Amino acid sequence: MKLFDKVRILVSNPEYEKYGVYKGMVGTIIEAHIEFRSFQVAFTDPTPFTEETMYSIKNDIVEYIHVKDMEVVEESDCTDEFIFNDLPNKDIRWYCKVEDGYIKNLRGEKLNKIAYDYDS
Amino acid sequence: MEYSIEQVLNDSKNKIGLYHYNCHCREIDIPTPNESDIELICPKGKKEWLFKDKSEWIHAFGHEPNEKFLEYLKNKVIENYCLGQYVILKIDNHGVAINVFVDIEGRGEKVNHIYRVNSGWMVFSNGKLKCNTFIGGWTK
Repeated sequence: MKLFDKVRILVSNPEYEKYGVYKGMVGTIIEAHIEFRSFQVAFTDPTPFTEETMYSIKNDIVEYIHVKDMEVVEESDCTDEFIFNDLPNKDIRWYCKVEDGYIKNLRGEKLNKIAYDYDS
Repeated sequence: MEYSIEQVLNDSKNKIGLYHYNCHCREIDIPTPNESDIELICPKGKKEWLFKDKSEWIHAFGHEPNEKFLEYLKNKVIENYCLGQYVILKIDNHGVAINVFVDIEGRGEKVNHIYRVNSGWMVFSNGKLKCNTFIGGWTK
């Protein structure tokens, strides 16, 4: 799981729902770094954009979603180099990926102690 | 100690500004921020996302999805933020999320149109704004 991956929400959570994010919705990770074990995800209206529909298109919803509450549905081709350049202050210590059950940074250092237990 | 309504009304008569009974408050002017004090933090990924997700919108405005439009948009955000043209969306451990209202002037065939959009930002100290989404939708 990383920048620009498409992700699906796996849970019903009142904290998400009060901002319009529901189980089953698909969004895109739009920020490289993981903050409080969460990625920033954008959910956009899938209505095709035309001159006729443009004003009825719903606003984007941008929320931080915990990595345990979503799964990847489509991987992006975002490179590590792009991710690095997008990290705050280009600090390589920022965690920015979820692989094999671990939250990792570009040095391969893991945040969680137990695989797939993202709060450990 | 209790005060009667008549006493309060009488004592506060002709007083201008914020006032409550037995008030020791002082009014302090909050300086209007200068546009030069505002620093926009725009991760490259947010720019890529804008051009990928909102390129049709930008074309519909009569602009091109390029650096020139991005600079135009950023200047509009700074200008309107300093004018107080924003609302606070939420405050949590990630920070203070705001929606800045931006009027985009149409170009070309759309030159007489004004498009009112929302731009999402996180507010940090010392005048820094970090981009959440350059164009998030229409201002309703």
